[in-house]
Amino acid sequence: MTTVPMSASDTNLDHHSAEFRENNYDILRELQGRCPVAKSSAWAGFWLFTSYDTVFEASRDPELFSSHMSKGVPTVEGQTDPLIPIDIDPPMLQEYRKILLPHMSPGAARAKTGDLRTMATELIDVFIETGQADLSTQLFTPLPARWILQLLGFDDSQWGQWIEWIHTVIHDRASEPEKTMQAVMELYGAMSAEIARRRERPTEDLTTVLIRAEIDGRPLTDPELIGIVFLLLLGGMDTTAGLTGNAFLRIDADPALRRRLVEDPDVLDRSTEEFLRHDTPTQGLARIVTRDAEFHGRQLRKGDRVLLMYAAANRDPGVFDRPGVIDFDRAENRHLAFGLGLHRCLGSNFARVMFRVMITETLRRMPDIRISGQVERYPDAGDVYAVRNLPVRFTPGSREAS
Amino acid sequence: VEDAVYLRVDADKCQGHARCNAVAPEFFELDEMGYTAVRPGSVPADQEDAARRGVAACPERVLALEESPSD
Repeated sequence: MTTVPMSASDTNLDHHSAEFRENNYDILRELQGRCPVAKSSAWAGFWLFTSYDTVFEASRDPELFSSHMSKGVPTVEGQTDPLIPIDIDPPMLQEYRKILLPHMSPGAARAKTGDLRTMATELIDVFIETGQADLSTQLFTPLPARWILQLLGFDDSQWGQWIEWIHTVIHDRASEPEKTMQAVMELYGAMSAEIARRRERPTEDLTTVLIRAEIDGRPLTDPELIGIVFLLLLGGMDTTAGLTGNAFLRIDADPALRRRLVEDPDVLDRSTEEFLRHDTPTQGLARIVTRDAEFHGRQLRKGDRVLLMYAAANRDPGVFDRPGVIDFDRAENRHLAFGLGLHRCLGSNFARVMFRVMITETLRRMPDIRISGQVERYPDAGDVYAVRNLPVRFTPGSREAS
Repeated sequence: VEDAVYLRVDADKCQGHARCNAVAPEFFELDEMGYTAVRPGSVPADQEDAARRGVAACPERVLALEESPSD
Protein backbone atom coordinates (compact mmCIF):
# COMPACT_ATOMS: atom_id res chain seq x y z
CA MET A 1 0.00 0.00 0.00
CA THR A 2 1.28 3.49 -0.79
CA THR A 3 1.54 6.17 1.85
CA VAL A 4 -1.50 8.44 1.77
CA PRO A 5 -1.12 12.10 2.74
CA MET A 6 -2.77 13.29 5.95
CA SER A 7 -5.33 15.46 4.20
CA ALA A 8 -7.02 12.51 2.50
CA SER A 9 -9.81 10.77 4.36
CA ASP A 10 -10.90 7.21 3.84
CA THR A 11 -14.27 7.62 5.50
CA ASN A 12 -16.46 10.14 7.29
CA LEU A 13 -17.41 7.57 9.93
CA ASP A 14 -18.62 9.09 13.21
CA HIS A 15 -18.76 6.32 15.81
CA HIS A 16 -21.08 8.44 17.96
CA SER A 17 -23.71 8.72 15.22
CA ALA A 18 -27.11 7.04 15.00
CA GLU A 19 -25.99 5.45 11.74
CA PHE A 20 -23.12 3.71 13.51
CA ARG A 21 -25.39 2.54 16.33
CA GLU A 22 -27.84 1.00 13.89
CA ASN A 23 -25.30 -0.49 11.45
CA ASN A 24 -22.09 -0.77 13.46
CA TYR A 25 -21.08 -4.25 12.36
CA ASP A 26 -21.85 -3.68 8.67
CA ILE A 27 -19.92 -0.40 8.74
CA LEU A 28 -16.94 -1.93 10.54
CA ARG A 29 -16.84 -4.97 8.24
CA GLU A 30 -16.84 -2.77 5.13
CA LEU A 31 -14.08 -0.55 6.53
CA GLN A 32 -12.01 -3.52 7.70
CA GLY A 33 -12.16 -5.11 4.25
CA ARG A 34 -11.37 -1.90 2.40
CA CYS A 35 -8.96 -0.09 4.69
CA PRO A 36 -8.02 -1.58 8.09
CA VAL A 37 -6.04 1.56 8.99
CA ALA A 38 -8.49 4.29 8.01
CA LYS A 39 -8.59 8.03 8.45
CA SER A 40 -11.99 9.47 9.28
CA SER A 41 -12.85 13.11 8.61
CA ALA A 42 -15.22 13.22 11.59
CA TRP A 43 -14.28 14.89 14.89
CA ALA A 44 -11.48 16.94 13.25
CA GLY A 45 -9.86 13.75 12.01
CA PHE A 46 -8.90 10.48 13.67
CA TRP A 47 -7.75 7.00 12.71
CA LEU A 48 -9.74 3.79 13.01
CA PHE A 49 -7.84 0.51 13.31
CA THR A 50 -10.23 -2.33 12.52
CA SER A 51 -8.21 -5.48 11.77
CA TYR A 52 -7.14 -7.90 14.49
CA ASP A 53 -3.41 -7.50 13.83
CA THR A 54 -3.44 -3.69 13.83
CA VAL A 55 -5.41 -3.54 17.09
CA PHE A 56 -3.15 -6.25 18.56
CA GLU A 57 0.05 -4.43 17.62
CA ALA A 58 -1.09 -0.96 18.67
CA SER A 59 -2.40 -2.26 22.01
CA ARG A 60 1.01 -3.72 22.77
CA ASP A 61 2.97 -0.62 21.79
CA PRO A 62 2.21 2.02 24.45
CA GLU A 63 5.39 3.86 23.51
CA LEU A 64 3.98 4.81 20.09
CA PHE A 65 0.29 4.70 21.08
CA SER A 66 -0.08 6.68 24.31
CA SER A 67 -3.10 6.63 26.61
CA HIS A 68 -2.76 10.28 27.65
CA MET A 69 -6.17 11.78 28.47
CA SER A 70 -6.04 14.02 25.39
CA LYS A 71 -6.68 10.88 23.28
CA GLY A 72 -10.50 11.10 23.51
CA VAL A 73 -12.61 11.44 20.34
CA PRO A 74 -13.90 13.74 21.73
CA THR A 75 -12.55 14.28 25.24
CA VAL A 76 -14.97 14.45 28.20
CA GLU A 77 -16.14 18.01 29.01
CA GLY A 78 -15.30 19.02 32.57
CA GLN A 79 -12.82 16.23 33.18
CA THR A 80 -9.78 17.95 34.67
CA ASP A 81 -7.66 15.01 35.77
CA PRO A 82 -6.82 11.69 34.18
CA LEU A 83 -8.92 8.62 34.76
CA ILE A 84 -6.60 6.15 36.44
CA PRO A 85 -5.16 3.94 35.11
CA ILE A 86 -6.85 4.10 31.67
CA ASP A 87 -5.38 7.56 30.89
CA ILE A 88 -1.91 6.68 32.23
CA ASP A 89 1.20 5.45 30.39
CA PRO A 90 4.01 3.26 31.73
CA PRO A 91 5.76 3.26 34.12
CA MET A 92 3.15 4.81 36.47
CA LEU A 93 0.44 2.68 34.86
CA GLN A 94 1.82 -0.53 36.39
CA GLU A 95 2.22 1.13 39.81
CA TYR A 96 -1.48 2.03 39.94
CA ARG A 97 -2.55 -1.37 38.63
CA LYS A 98 -0.55 -3.14 41.34
CA ILE A 99 -2.81 -1.56 43.96
CA LEU A 100 -5.99 -2.69 42.23
CA LEU A 101 -5.08 -6.12 40.81
CA PRO A 102 -5.40 -8.24 43.97
CA HIS A 103 -8.94 -6.87 44.45
CA MET A 104 -9.96 -7.65 40.87
CA SER A 105 -8.36 -11.09 40.40
CA PRO A 106 -10.19 -14.28 39.39
CA GLY A 107 -10.01 -15.36 43.03
CA ALA A 108 -11.55 -12.10 44.25
CA ALA A 109 -14.34 -12.44 41.69
CA ARG A 110 -14.96 -16.07 42.60
CA ALA A 111 -15.20 -15.16 46.29
CA LYS A 112 -17.96 -12.69 45.49
CA THR A 113 -20.03 -15.08 43.34
CA GLY A 114 -22.41 -16.05 46.15
CA ASP A 115 -23.16 -12.43 47.00
CA LEU A 116 -23.76 -11.64 43.34
CA ARG A 117 -26.14 -14.59 43.05
CA THR A 118 -28.04 -13.36 46.10
CA MET A 119 -28.24 -9.91 44.54
CA ALA A 120 -29.64 -11.41 41.33
CA THR A 121 -32.18 -13.39 43.35
CA GLU A 122 -33.40 -10.24 45.09
CA LEU A 123 -33.57 -8.22 41.90
CA ILE A 124 -35.52 -10.96 40.08
CA ASP A 125 -37.82 -11.44 43.11
CA VAL A 126 -39.10 -7.89 42.59
CA PHE A 127 -40.74 -8.82 39.28
CA ILE A 128 -40.89 -12.63 39.13
CA GLU A 129 -44.55 -12.80 40.23
CA THR A 130 -45.75 -10.31 37.64
CA GLY A 131 -44.70 -12.15 34.48
CA GLN A 132 -43.15 -9.05 32.96
CA ALA A 133 -40.12 -6.84 33.44
CA ASP A 134 -37.57 -4.56 31.85
CA LEU A 135 -34.54 -6.81 32.12
CA SER A 136 -32.18 -3.95 31.37
CA THR A 137 -33.36 -1.48 34.00
CA GLN A 138 -34.37 -4.11 36.57
CA LEU A 139 -31.50 -6.61 36.42
CA PHE A 140 -28.65 -6.10 33.92
CA THR A 141 -28.10 -2.44 34.89
CA PRO A 142 -28.57 -2.47 38.69
CA LEU A 143 -26.53 -5.61 39.43
CA PRO A 144 -23.15 -4.40 38.13
CA ALA A 145 -23.89 -0.90 39.45
CA ARG A 146 -24.63 -2.14 42.95
CA TRP A 147 -21.59 -4.46 42.83
CA ILE A 148 -19.11 -1.66 42.12
CA LEU A 149 -20.73 0.62 44.73
CA GLN A 150 -20.48 -2.19 47.31
CA LEU A 151 -16.86 -2.82 46.39
CA LEU A 152 -16.11 0.86 46.94
CA GLY A 153 -18.15 0.86 50.14
CA PHE A 154 -20.67 3.42 48.83
CA ASP A 155 -24.39 3.23 49.63
CA ASP A 156 -25.58 0.90 46.87
CA SER A 157 -29.24 1.79 47.42
CA GLN A 158 -28.33 5.05 45.65
CA TRP A 159 -27.32 3.20 42.46
CA GLY A 160 -29.98 5.04 40.42
CA GLN A 161 -28.34 8.42 40.96
CA TRP A 162 -24.84 7.13 40.29
CA ILE A 163 -25.88 5.36 37.12
CA GLU A 164 -27.63 8.47 35.81
CA TRP A 165 -24.38 10.43 36.09
CA ILE A 166 -22.31 7.63 34.59
CA HIS A 167 -24.70 7.08 31.68
CA THR A 168 -24.55 10.80 30.93
CA VAL A 169 -20.75 10.74 30.82
CA ILE A 170 -20.69 7.68 28.56
CA HIS A 171 -23.68 8.14 26.30
CA ASP A 172 -24.25 11.92 26.16
CA ARG A 173 -20.68 13.21 26.13
CA ALA A 174 -20.50 13.63 22.37
CA SER A 175 -23.97 15.16 21.90
CA GLU A 176 -24.53 17.13 25.10
CA PRO A 177 -21.24 18.56 26.43
CA GLU A 178 -22.93 20.91 28.93
CA LYS A 179 -25.07 18.20 30.46
CA THR A 180 -21.95 16.02 30.62
CA MET A 181 -19.97 18.74 32.38
CA GLN A 182 -22.74 19.13 34.96
CA ALA A 183 -22.76 15.35 35.58
CA VAL A 184 -18.98 15.29 35.92
CA MET A 185 -19.10 18.14 38.46
CA GLU A 186 -21.72 16.34 40.51
CA LEU A 187 -19.75 13.11 40.31
CA TYR A 188 -16.59 14.86 41.49
CA GLY A 189 -18.56 16.25 44.44
CA ALA A 190 -20.10 12.92 45.39
CA MET A 191 -16.81 11.04 45.07
CA SER A 192 -14.93 13.66 47.11
CA ALA A 193 -17.53 13.38 49.87
CA GLU A 194 -17.18 9.58 49.97
CA ILE A 195 -13.39 9.81 50.09
CA ALA A 196 -13.54 12.40 52.89
CA ARG A 197 -15.90 10.17 54.87
CA ARG A 198 -13.50 7.24 54.53
CA ARG A 199 -10.53 9.35 55.62
CA GLU A 200 -12.41 10.19 58.80
CA ARG A 201 -13.75 6.70 59.39
CA PRO A 202 -11.77 3.96 57.62
CA THR A 203 -13.63 0.76 56.76
CA GLU A 204 -12.80 -2.46 54.92
CA ASP A 205 -13.80 -1.32 51.45
CA LEU A 206 -11.74 -0.62 48.34
CA THR A 207 -11.98 3.15 48.89
CA THR A 208 -10.18 2.70 52.21
CA VAL A 209 -7.62 0.41 50.56
CA LEU A 210 -6.91 3.18 48.05
CA ILE A 211 -6.59 5.83 50.76
CA ARG A 212 -4.07 3.63 52.60
CA ALA A 213 -2.17 2.67 49.44
CA GLU A 214 1.24 4.10 48.64
CA ILE A 215 2.88 4.80 45.34
CA ASP A 216 6.59 5.66 45.26
CA GLY A 217 6.48 5.77 49.07
CA ARG A 218 3.73 8.40 49.27
CA PRO A 219 -0.04 8.20 49.66
CA LEU A 220 -2.30 8.84 46.67
CA THR A 221 -3.43 12.45 46.20
CA ASP A 222 -7.11 13.39 46.06
CA PRO A 223 -7.08 13.84 42.26
CA GLU A 224 -5.49 10.38 41.99
CA LEU A 225 -8.09 8.81 44.28
CA ILE A 226 -10.90 10.45 42.31
CA GLY A 227 -9.32 9.37 39.03
CA ILE A 228 -9.34 5.75 40.18
CA VAL A 229 -12.82 5.79 41.71
CA PHE A 230 -14.27 7.55 38.65
CA LEU A 231 -12.83 4.91 36.33
CA LEU A 232 -14.08 2.06 38.52
CA LEU A 233 -17.57 3.54 38.34
CA LEU A 234 -17.37 4.08 34.57
CA GLY A 235 -15.97 0.65 33.86
CA GLY A 236 -18.07 -1.15 36.41
CA MET A 237 -21.48 0.27 35.71
CA ASP A 238 -22.09 0.20 32.01
CA THR A 239 -20.02 -2.36 30.15
CA THR A 240 -21.20 -5.55 31.84
CA ALA A 241 -24.81 -4.41 31.53
CA GLY A 242 -24.14 -3.77 27.84
CA LEU A 243 -22.64 -7.21 27.27
CA THR A 244 -25.49 -8.96 29.05
CA GLY A 245 -28.18 -7.05 27.18
CA ASN A 246 -26.47 -7.64 23.82
CA ALA A 247 -26.12 -11.35 24.58
CA PHE A 248 -29.74 -11.65 25.69
CA LEU A 249 -30.88 -10.31 22.31
CA ARG A 250 -28.99 -13.19 20.65
CA ILE A 251 -30.37 -15.76 23.05
CA ASP A 252 -33.89 -14.49 22.47
CA ALA A 253 -33.43 -14.75 18.70
CA ASP A 254 -31.98 -18.28 18.69
CA PRO A 255 -33.82 -21.14 20.44
CA ALA A 256 -30.84 -23.48 19.96
CA LEU A 257 -28.54 -21.13 21.85
CA ARG A 258 -31.05 -20.85 24.67
CA ARG A 259 -31.48 -24.60 24.88
CA ARG A 260 -27.74 -25.19 25.00
CA LEU A 261 -27.28 -22.62 27.77
CA VAL A 262 -30.12 -24.09 29.82
CA GLU A 263 -29.12 -27.72 29.36
CA ASP A 264 -25.33 -27.64 29.38
CA PRO A 265 -23.79 -25.74 32.31
CA ASP A 266 -20.31 -26.73 31.08
CA VAL A 267 -20.72 -24.44 28.11
CA LEU A 268 -20.86 -21.33 30.30
CA ASP A 269 -17.19 -20.39 30.15
CA ARG A 270 -16.96 -20.84 26.39
CA SER A 271 -20.26 -19.10 25.76
CA THR A 272 -19.18 -16.12 27.88
CA GLU A 273 -16.09 -15.72 25.71
CA GLU A 274 -18.11 -16.09 22.53
CA PHE A 275 -20.63 -13.44 23.58
CA LEU A 276 -17.73 -11.17 24.55
CA ARG A 277 -16.29 -11.64 21.06
CA HIS A 278 -19.51 -11.39 19.08
CA ASP A 279 -21.33 -8.77 21.17
CA THR A 280 -18.45 -6.68 22.50
CA PRO A 281 -19.85 -3.78 24.53
CA THR A 282 -16.75 -1.54 24.41
CA GLN A 283 -16.59 -1.09 20.66
CA GLY A 284 -13.25 0.69 20.78
CA LEU A 285 -10.88 2.77 22.88
CA ALA A 286 -8.60 5.64 21.92
CA ARG A 287 -4.86 6.22 21.81
CA ILE A 288 -2.76 9.23 20.82
CA VAL A 289 0.29 8.90 18.58
CA THR A 290 3.54 10.02 20.24
CA ARG A 291 5.72 10.56 17.15
CA ASP A 292 5.59 10.50 13.37
CA ALA A 293 5.64 6.87 12.30
CA GLU A 294 4.59 4.59 9.51
CA PHE A 295 2.08 1.94 10.52
CA HIS A 296 0.82 -0.72 8.11
CA GLY A 297 1.65 1.49 5.16
CA ARG A 298 0.04 4.64 6.53
CA GLN A 299 1.80 7.76 7.76
CA LEU A 300 0.80 8.58 11.33
CA ARG A 301 1.69 12.00 12.76
CA LYS A 302 2.51 12.94 16.31
CA GLY A 303 -0.74 13.95 18.03
CA ASP A 304 -3.01 11.90 15.76
CA ARG A 305 -5.82 10.19 17.62
CA VAL A 306 -6.55 6.53 17.00
CA LEU A 307 -9.53 4.36 17.86
CA LEU A 308 -8.66 0.70 18.41
CA MET A 309 -11.87 -0.97 17.31
CA TYR A 310 -12.12 -4.13 19.42
CA ALA A 311 -15.57 -4.89 18.02
CA ALA A 312 -14.16 -5.00 14.50
CA ALA A 313 -11.04 -6.98 15.44
CA ASN A 314 -13.27 -9.53 17.16
CA ARG A 315 -14.99 -10.22 13.84
CA ASP A 316 -11.88 -10.27 11.67
CA PRO A 317 -12.46 -13.13 9.19
CA GLY A 318 -8.70 -13.65 8.97
CA VAL A 319 -8.69 -14.75 12.62
CA PHE A 320 -12.19 -16.00 13.35
CA ASP A 321 -13.89 -18.47 11.04
CA ARG A 322 -17.45 -17.29 10.23
CA PRO A 323 -17.02 -14.32 12.59
CA GLY A 324 -20.67 -13.25 12.48
CA VAL A 325 -21.85 -16.61 13.81
CA ILE A 326 -22.10 -17.39 17.51
CA ASP A 327 -20.27 -20.68 17.97
CA PHE A 328 -19.62 -21.86 21.53
CA ASP A 329 -17.30 -24.57 20.19
CA ARG A 330 -14.62 -22.41 18.58
CA ALA A 331 -11.25 -24.10 19.02
CA GLU A 332 -9.59 -20.74 19.69
CA ASN A 333 -11.23 -17.55 20.84
CA ARG A 334 -8.57 -14.98 21.67
CA HIS A 335 -10.95 -12.05 21.40
CA LEU A 336 -10.00 -8.51 22.35
CA ALA A 337 -13.18 -7.50 24.20
CA PHE A 338 -11.15 -6.59 27.29
CA GLY A 339 -8.37 -4.98 25.30
CA LEU A 340 -4.83 -6.23 25.32
CA GLY A 341 -1.44 -5.32 26.70
CA LEU A 342 -0.79 -3.21 29.77
CA HIS A 343 -4.31 -1.71 29.80
CA ARG A 344 -6.16 -5.05 29.88
CA CYS A 345 -9.57 -4.38 31.51
CA LEU A 346 -9.13 -4.64 35.27
CA GLY A 347 -12.75 -5.64 35.75
CA SER A 348 -12.67 -8.55 33.30
CA ASN A 349 -12.83 -11.25 35.96
CA PHE A 350 -15.80 -9.67 37.74
CA ALA A 351 -17.49 -8.95 34.41
CA ARG A 352 -17.37 -12.63 33.49
CA VAL A 353 -18.80 -13.72 36.84
CA MET A 354 -21.59 -11.13 36.78
CA PHE A 355 -22.49 -11.98 33.20
CA ARG A 356 -22.77 -15.68 34.04
CA VAL A 357 -24.81 -15.06 37.17
CA MET A 358 -27.27 -12.78 35.37
CA ILE A 359 -27.72 -15.04 32.33
CA THR A 360 -28.01 -18.28 34.30
CA GLU A 361 -30.40 -16.86 36.89
CA THR A 362 -32.54 -15.31 34.17
CA LEU A 363 -32.84 -18.59 32.24
CA ARG A 364 -33.21 -20.72 35.38
CA ARG A 365 -36.06 -18.72 36.85
CA MET A 366 -37.73 -17.59 33.62
CA PRO A 367 -37.07 -20.44 31.16
CA ASP A 368 -39.74 -19.25 28.70
CA ILE A 369 -38.70 -15.58 28.83
CA ARG A 370 -39.20 -13.66 25.57
CA ILE A 371 -38.72 -10.09 24.45
CA SER A 372 -42.19 -8.55 24.39
CA GLY A 373 -41.80 -5.03 23.04
CA GLN A 374 -39.57 -2.39 21.55
CA VAL A 375 -35.90 -2.83 22.47
CA GLU A 376 -34.19 0.53 22.78
CA ARG A 377 -30.45 1.11 22.64
CA TYR A 378 -28.54 4.01 24.11
CA PRO A 379 -28.36 6.59 21.32
CA ASP A 380 -24.55 6.75 21.36
CA ALA A 381 -22.81 3.41 20.85
CA GLY A 382 -19.40 4.97 20.19
CA ASP A 383 -18.02 4.06 23.59
CA VAL A 384 -20.36 1.38 24.88
CA TYR A 385 -22.79 -0.50 22.66
CA ALA A 386 -25.61 -1.23 25.06
CA VAL A 387 -29.32 -1.81 25.45
CA ARG A 388 -31.30 0.74 27.47
CA ASN A 389 -34.71 -0.92 27.55
CA LEU A 390 -35.41 -4.63 27.26
CA PRO A 391 -39.10 -5.42 27.88
CA VAL A 392 -39.79 -9.12 28.50
CA ARG A 393 -42.66 -11.46 29.37
CA PHE A 394 -42.51 -14.89 31.02
CA THR A 395 -44.60 -17.30 33.04
CA PRO A 396 -44.77 -15.84 36.58
CA GLY A 397 -42.72 -17.63 39.22
CA SER A 398 -42.18 -17.52 42.97
CA ARG A 399 -39.94 -15.32 45.04
CA GLU A 400 -36.85 -17.09 46.38
CA ALA A 401 -35.11 -14.79 48.84
CA SER A 402 -35.60 -15.77 52.47
CA VAL B 1 12.92 -37.80 26.42
CA GLU B 2 11.24 -38.70 23.16
CA ASP B 3 8.30 -36.53 22.09
CA ALA B 4 8.59 -34.31 25.16
CA VAL B 5 7.14 -30.84 24.82
CA TYR B 6 8.35 -27.73 26.55
CA LEU B 7 6.32 -24.78 27.74
CA ARG B 8 7.64 -21.32 27.02
CA VAL B 9 6.32 -18.51 29.22
CA ASP B 10 6.92 -14.88 28.33
CA ALA B 11 6.03 -13.95 31.90
CA ASP B 12 6.73 -10.23 31.66
CA LYS B 13 4.14 -9.92 28.90
CA CYS B 14 1.40 -11.70 30.89
CA GLN B 15 -1.39 -9.19 31.58
CA GLY B 16 -3.57 -11.31 33.81
CA HIS B 17 -6.37 -12.25 31.41
CA ALA B 18 -6.35 -15.54 33.33
CA ARG B 19 -7.73 -17.49 30.39
CA CYS B 20 -5.12 -20.24 30.80
CA ASN B 21 -6.36 -20.81 34.32
CA ALA B 22 -10.00 -20.73 33.19
CA VAL B 23 -9.58 -23.47 30.58
CA ALA B 24 -6.99 -25.61 32.39
CA PRO B 25 -6.90 -24.79 36.11
CA GLU B 26 -5.16 -28.10 36.86
CA PHE B 27 -2.07 -26.92 35.03
CA PHE B 28 -2.10 -23.11 35.07
CA GLU B 29 -2.13 -21.61 38.53
CA LEU B 30 -2.31 -17.87 39.15
CA ASP B 31 -0.54 -15.61 41.62
CA GLU B 32 -2.43 -13.26 43.94
CA MET B 33 -2.49 -10.54 41.27
CA GLY B 34 -4.07 -12.89 38.74
CA TYR B 35 -0.95 -13.38 36.60
CA THR B 36 0.00 -16.84 35.41
CA ALA B 37 2.25 -18.61 37.91
CA VAL B 38 3.15 -21.52 35.65
CA ARG B 39 6.86 -22.24 35.21
CA PRO B 40 8.49 -22.79 31.84
CA GLY B 41 9.94 -26.21 31.18
CA SER B 42 9.05 -29.71 30.13
CA VAL B 43 5.39 -30.67 30.32
CA PRO B 44 4.50 -34.09 31.77
CA ALA B 45 2.83 -36.27 29.14
CA ASP B 46 -0.42 -36.49 31.10
CA GLN B 47 -0.60 -32.67 31.32
CA GLU B 48 0.04 -32.00 27.67
CA ASP B 49 -3.60 -31.59 26.73
CA ALA B 50 -4.19 -29.10 29.54
CA ALA B 51 -1.09 -27.18 28.52
CA ARG B 52 -2.29 -27.02 24.91
CA ARG B 53 -5.68 -25.67 25.95
CA GLY B 54 -4.06 -22.94 28.04
CA VAL B 55 -1.65 -21.94 25.29
CA ALA B 56 -4.49 -21.68 22.77
CA ALA B 57 -6.51 -19.47 25.13
CA CYS B 58 -3.89 -16.80 25.81
CA PRO B 59 -4.88 -13.56 24.04
CA GLU B 60 -1.44 -12.05 24.63
CA ARG B 61 0.29 -15.09 23.09
CA VAL B 62 2.80 -15.28 25.92
CA LEU B 63 2.55 -19.08 26.19
CA ALA B 64 3.87 -21.54 23.64
CA LEU B 65 4.67 -25.22 23.38
CA GLU B 66 7.97 -26.12 21.76
CA GLU B 67 9.81 -29.24 20.70
CA SER B 68 12.95 -28.31 22.59
CA PRO B 69 13.61 -26.25 25.70
CA SER B 70 14.22 -22.55 25.15
CA ASP B 71 17.53 -21.24 26.52
